[in-house]
Amino acid sequence: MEDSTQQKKTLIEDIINLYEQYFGSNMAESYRRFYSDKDINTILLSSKELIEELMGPVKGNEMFEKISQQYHLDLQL
Amino acid sequence: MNKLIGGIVIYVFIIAAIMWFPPFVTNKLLLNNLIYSTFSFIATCAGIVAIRTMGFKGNQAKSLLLIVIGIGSWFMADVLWGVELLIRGEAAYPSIGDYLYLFGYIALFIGLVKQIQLARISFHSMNKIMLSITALFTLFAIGGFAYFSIYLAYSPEVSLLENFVTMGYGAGDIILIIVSFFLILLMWDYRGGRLSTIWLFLLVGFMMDITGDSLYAYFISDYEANINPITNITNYFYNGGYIFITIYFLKMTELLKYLAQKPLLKK
Repeated sequence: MEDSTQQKKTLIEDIINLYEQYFGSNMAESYRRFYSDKDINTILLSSKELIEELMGPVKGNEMFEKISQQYHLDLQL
Repeated sequence: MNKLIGGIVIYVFIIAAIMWFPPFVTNKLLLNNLIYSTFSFIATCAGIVAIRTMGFKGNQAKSLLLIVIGIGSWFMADVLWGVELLIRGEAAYPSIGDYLYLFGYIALFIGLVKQIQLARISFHSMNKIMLSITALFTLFAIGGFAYFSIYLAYSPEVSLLENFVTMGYGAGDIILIIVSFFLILLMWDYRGGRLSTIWLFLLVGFMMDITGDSLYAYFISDYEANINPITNITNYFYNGGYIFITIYFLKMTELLKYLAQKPLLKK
């Protein structure tokens, strides 16, 4: 349970850091608050959808694959 | 957005009031400069709104800030050039305005390099033919500018400083050509995404600016003598460049506001 919680925290931080790098701190803060009470699957779905909307399906998928591989996560649709 | 519109309205009123002032009525070149400065002013204001909406943290914010500084530098150069025309009747060459124009190129270049580094273009997934054609066209354009705007621009009859500034403008345009090449690659790599559409406006803005610079360099005597239609056509390209850059900043602001609001709508 603790590993899962820690993993979620690290995942959120990494995604928020990505948002901050690409879209600035104001947007990143909105999503930090939004993700804080969501489960990992919801966070991954949301970030995948957002990244693809902004970067396009090809680049977005590439970015998202890196996150998934880093955390050895399989997206459960 | 209301403050931006308010600022633009006030600025336009000031311009309109000054247009009745005798030195401007009789000096068409000065009048052109004032109208021209309006476009760079609006672009700068739009840039400031974009950076305030984004915040100042992160590489994208640093990139955007440098682009805004570059455009703002060009606005200051336009204003100083106009002030010099008003006071002295002609602009010295080189002047502080010229150094600000050159500084603007440097800021834009650094800002866009940061953008390109952040984007991490996936060259391996690109269509090789498209990449080759774009690269060849870019090299051809760079070669043309290097020959006409740098090599031919050198004159042993003028001072080293004047040569440096004149050739600097050519180098600045080459910088814009290089970043435009990478913007095309970025747009392709991020195709289908909202960022790709936004970068298109920046690319068109730079293309128009480069065209304006080319016309200015080729017809410099006619432009300085305010001979139409070349002066008007050249200014249309410069003004058009600022318009597209303004749209880029406004589209970026719109996107950032949408992103900030989106999680609130999902709750």
